[in-house]
Amino acid sequence: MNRERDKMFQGRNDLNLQGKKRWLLLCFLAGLVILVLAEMAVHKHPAFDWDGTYGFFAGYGFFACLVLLLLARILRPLVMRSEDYYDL
Amino acid sequence: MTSSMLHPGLILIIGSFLVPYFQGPARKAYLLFLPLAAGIALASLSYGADLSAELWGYNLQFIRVDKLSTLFGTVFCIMSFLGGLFALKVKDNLQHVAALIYAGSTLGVVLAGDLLTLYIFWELMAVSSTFLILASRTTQAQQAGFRYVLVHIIGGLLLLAGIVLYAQDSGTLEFAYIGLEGAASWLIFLGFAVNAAAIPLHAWLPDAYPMGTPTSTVYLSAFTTKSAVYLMARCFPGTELLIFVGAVMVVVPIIYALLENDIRRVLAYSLLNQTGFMFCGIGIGTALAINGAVAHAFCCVLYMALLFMAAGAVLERTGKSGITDLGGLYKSMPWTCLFCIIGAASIAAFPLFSGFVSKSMVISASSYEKMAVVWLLLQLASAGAVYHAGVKVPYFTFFGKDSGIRPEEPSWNMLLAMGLTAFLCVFIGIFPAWLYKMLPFPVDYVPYTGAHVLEQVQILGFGTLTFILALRYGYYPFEARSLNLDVDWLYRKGGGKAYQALDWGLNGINAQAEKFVLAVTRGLGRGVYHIPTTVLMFFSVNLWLVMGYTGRQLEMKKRRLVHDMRAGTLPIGLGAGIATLFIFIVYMAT
Repeated sequence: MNRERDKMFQGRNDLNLQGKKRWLLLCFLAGLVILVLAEMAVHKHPAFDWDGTYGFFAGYGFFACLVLLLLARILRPLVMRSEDYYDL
Repeated sequence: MTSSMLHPGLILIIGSFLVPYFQGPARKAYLLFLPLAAGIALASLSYGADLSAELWGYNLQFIRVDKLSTLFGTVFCIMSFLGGLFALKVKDNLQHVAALIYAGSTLGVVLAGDLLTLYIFWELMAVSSTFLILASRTTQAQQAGFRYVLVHIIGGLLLLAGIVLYAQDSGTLEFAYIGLEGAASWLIFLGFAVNAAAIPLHAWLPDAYPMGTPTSTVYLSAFTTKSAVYLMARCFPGTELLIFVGAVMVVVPIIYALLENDIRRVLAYSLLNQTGFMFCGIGIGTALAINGAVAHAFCCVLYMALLFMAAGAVLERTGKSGITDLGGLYKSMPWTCLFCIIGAASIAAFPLFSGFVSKSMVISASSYEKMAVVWLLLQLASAGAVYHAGVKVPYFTFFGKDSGIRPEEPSWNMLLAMGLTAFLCVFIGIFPAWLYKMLPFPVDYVPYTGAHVLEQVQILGFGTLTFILALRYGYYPFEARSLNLDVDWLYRKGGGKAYQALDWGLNGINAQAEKFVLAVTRGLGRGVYHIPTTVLMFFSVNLWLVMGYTGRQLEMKKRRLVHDMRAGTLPIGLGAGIATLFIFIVYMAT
């Protein structure tokens, strides 16, 4: 079972951070920092009490995707079957 | 009723019959001419126009023109043209004819002002779309097509039952707002929900759509679900149930998309997710929400088709659609890659792309109504677009790990179709007013405010960050050649299992009943034989004792009596004597 679990989650790690890709990643991270800082410059119209909090959307975007990843990891062993599962 | 009115749907349907009679360039020209003609016919219909007739005392309205039907009619005409252009080099006439009938019947559904006309076009839509799935001519496609048509027959029957009840109740076939009240409306609602692939009636979509040919799936993605969304928006606006269904639909398909390996199936789940936004909008039911829902349907037809075109182009060139087999295609397919990214940016609602101007209307509508949970789920789904639309289709297909495959760009017509669709996605994103003025309610909404743009980019940016981190630290559920169980398990495996369960259950009951009956009859039989013997033995033994038989003689007498009883050879005198004795005793006892 453990080996099967490993197969479900650990395939290839194709994020090879070298050379150009490293720069791209750094630019991306810098972009994120700028996005958060830019929040000071815009005038917000919060609809609820809590969505005007500084950095709410940045944090929520991160949190939401983590939740989805977590759910996917929970669901994978439950729903994953071999490709010929339905074949007679 | 004016006699000059031409039904745009019928132009496509009747026109399609002539396709096999054309050859070469003439056929190509004809395939592009028909959607154009339908578009012109649609544009020349004036608001409020209707083409109606009387049948069995019911008024049939073949054409109803208002802003809502025109909006959907327009996008379906555009899509029919773009799909035709994309499939221009396909030699298989079956596909062209089926696609044109499919597009035409969808136009018929959208323009129908009465339920009978609606139903006829509805069934035509189901039948013609089945041929688009079968067009792959593989066993898998055949089986999927069979399941597809079965589900749609059930949906159609639900709708028909609803229509019959509705006509009984209201005495008319014309329809507008129906609302969820009473059996008729529930049946109609369920019929629509099947076609809209509303969870949990959705499984046919990710099952069947990825089985189409590279070109036919483009059509499939555009028409069936969106025409059902149109009907939901017309008949069931403000139905609370739609909010719940929509809230589930925006989240669950993202998880499935995350786990799926086939890129076209990933897109099928994206399509479900997008339909969820429309359902939420229709369910909220305010003018802004309905506007948002139908605007989103308009944009979704285009970018979904664009994504399916890109996936189709990849499939056509490489023969593969599994992410495990793809990667690094941008090197040899840069244009397809660019168009695919535009499609993904549109579905992810990146500012300046079409999804942004329509999706944000729905999300804003939920915040104006102070629906915090719905709002949070919609925003969660907005962030999840990174996963269902960004990661698999553009990233792992065109970038990611290099698969070493170097396919050529698709043919010019495919590139042109993708280019035009991509142009429309960007155009709507930059000039939303063009779309907004076609919406059913007057629009007083500004998508491009500083805060709004920033919030959306932040959500997507930080969503992407999770992907990078997950990939870096091996937390990402990696691609594997596999399939994922969905509701279709119920009829693909569950049917067999139910049969087995019934077999086991009913046959078990049968066997038990048989045993019981046997035991009872055997017991009865034994009883019938034993009781008289015992009674007879009792009296006889007493008699013999009185007569002085003892020991071996008595034993012999007893054995002979038992033997005689079993063989039925009792001396009559003895039997009669015993019977008389018995009657006498009974008489004395009473």
